[in-house]
Amino acid sequence: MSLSPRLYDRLLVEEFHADYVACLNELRLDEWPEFFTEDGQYGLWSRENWDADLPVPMFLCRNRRQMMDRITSYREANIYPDHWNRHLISATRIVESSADAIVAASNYAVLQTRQDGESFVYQTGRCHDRFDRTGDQLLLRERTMIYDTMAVRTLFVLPV
Amino acid sequence: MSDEAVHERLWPNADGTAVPYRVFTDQGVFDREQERIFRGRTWSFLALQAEIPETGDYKSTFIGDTPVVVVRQKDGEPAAWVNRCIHRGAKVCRHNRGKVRNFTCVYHQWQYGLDGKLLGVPFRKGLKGMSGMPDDFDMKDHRLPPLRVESYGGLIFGTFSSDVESLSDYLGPEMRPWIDRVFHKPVKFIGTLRQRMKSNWKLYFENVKDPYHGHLLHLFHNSFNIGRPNMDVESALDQRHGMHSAIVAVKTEKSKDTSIYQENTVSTFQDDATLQDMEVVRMREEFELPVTNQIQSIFPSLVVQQIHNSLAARQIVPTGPGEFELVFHLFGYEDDDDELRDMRLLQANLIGPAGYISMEDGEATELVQAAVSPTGTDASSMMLMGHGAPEGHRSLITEELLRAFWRGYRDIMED
Repeated sequence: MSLSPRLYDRLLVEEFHADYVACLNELRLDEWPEFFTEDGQYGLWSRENWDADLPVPMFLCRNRRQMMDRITSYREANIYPDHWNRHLISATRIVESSADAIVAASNYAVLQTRQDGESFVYQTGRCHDRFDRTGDQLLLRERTMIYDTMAVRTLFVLPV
Repeated sequence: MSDEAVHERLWPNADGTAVPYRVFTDQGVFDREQERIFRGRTWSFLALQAEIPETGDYKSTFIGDTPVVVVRQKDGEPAAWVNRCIHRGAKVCRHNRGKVRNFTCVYHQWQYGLDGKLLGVPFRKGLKGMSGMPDDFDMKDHRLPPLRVESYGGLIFGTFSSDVESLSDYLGPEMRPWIDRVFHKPVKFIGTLRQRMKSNWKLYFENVKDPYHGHLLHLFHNSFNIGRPNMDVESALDQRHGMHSAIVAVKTEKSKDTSIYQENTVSTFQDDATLQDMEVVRMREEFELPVTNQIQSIFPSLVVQQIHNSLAARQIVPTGPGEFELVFHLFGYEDDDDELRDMRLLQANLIGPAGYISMEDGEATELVQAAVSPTGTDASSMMLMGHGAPEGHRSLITEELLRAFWRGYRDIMED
């Protein structure tokens, strides 16, 4: 029995998510921009702004260099409570698919643990992804995260 | 212990150099603040005019811990009232934002106009001969508790006080020019960012009056060795109660036309990190006075911010002695061109919960809260930087604005 193209695409995207999430969970942050095309965009918008068509992002990188700057700043400049993020991503749906692109939507949650050892839901939301596709190889051209957790707990420093 | 002795222990110095940590943790202090400050003789920020442009546009918000609604009335003026049904106390408006013709409490469908006046009570005359409200009940006598509302620039304020001075006088001559500067033409609301801190609201107020921490806590510019233009820093203090202030960094003439933010500056230390993309710190001159940073605090609930081309009204909403929410209302101008609109969005990276140069502020306030909560009840801070120095208003290394704030706070709370 062979997989339908649709299920195949979904597996491709889910595999991509698993690699992406592992990269962040394991804090291999230098590799994070490599999930994107050179001019790929990564942005987070609160659900409140998104639904009201208000354009302000909380966090926005318009290319890989801006992503790298965020990582350098995280390491060199910013001050924040020590913490670990654990990313869960689920219910991936393929919205559009062609030979050289996939559009997909998923739900995500980030559980955070700080030095006191207690874990809490740091953020939940959904992500809308536009992938460039070369064979089975996917790269994000655009990742739009729309977070429900409008009131950000203390601060946001690591990409999710 | 006598009242005087308690007072003495709480406030060891009258000059604002020592603040008892109890004011950050004590529920009694918090309750007193609600009464004396937030429901007292102060004006609190409610909304940008541009957030509720049309009749019926509303926003739910808070003054201190009191829920209020601000809404555009039919006559074009904003009104505000306490968001609590006069019948049985339910929240009348249950949404953060929206547009309505009137408001109905869902519990028993009591209906109110945009101005908060009672318009309808179901079964007021009873049903099928059974009695309703007493005969002497007149709807005209009842309404949601109104606030006094006044506007300045593009900012709407409300107060519970009937005798506090007008908003314009409350802001005062030292503060108005800085608000005028930012609100010199019609603004366009572009979004909200929210941040919840586990710390006392006054720790944030201290933070925005404290130029001393800027380069020491926020390492973004230094770490990336981003050159800053030559700047004069000045601070303005409201002379009447000392509670409002502005800290402003102005580019000096010498460097006015060097676009120092536009290219990487040469690193003096080999190992310094550099920004790979300087776009986020590129600034377009758009004001008559070349200010790179303006942080203006209007007691008790507002901070007006211009950082490069990022403009915001930050609202402080205390939710308990050890918790507050910070709400950034970001805006541009109606006549922004596409490039400037785009720059403001990218520069949102500088501020808010993920702000390159602001994310540490929340953490700093939580570090204080964590340390003073368990054991700090009898201890106090020590704020002596620049104490007694005459040139204080032209220096970054000063805590004079904090001392002025605490002197004013003490007067209000202990009066």
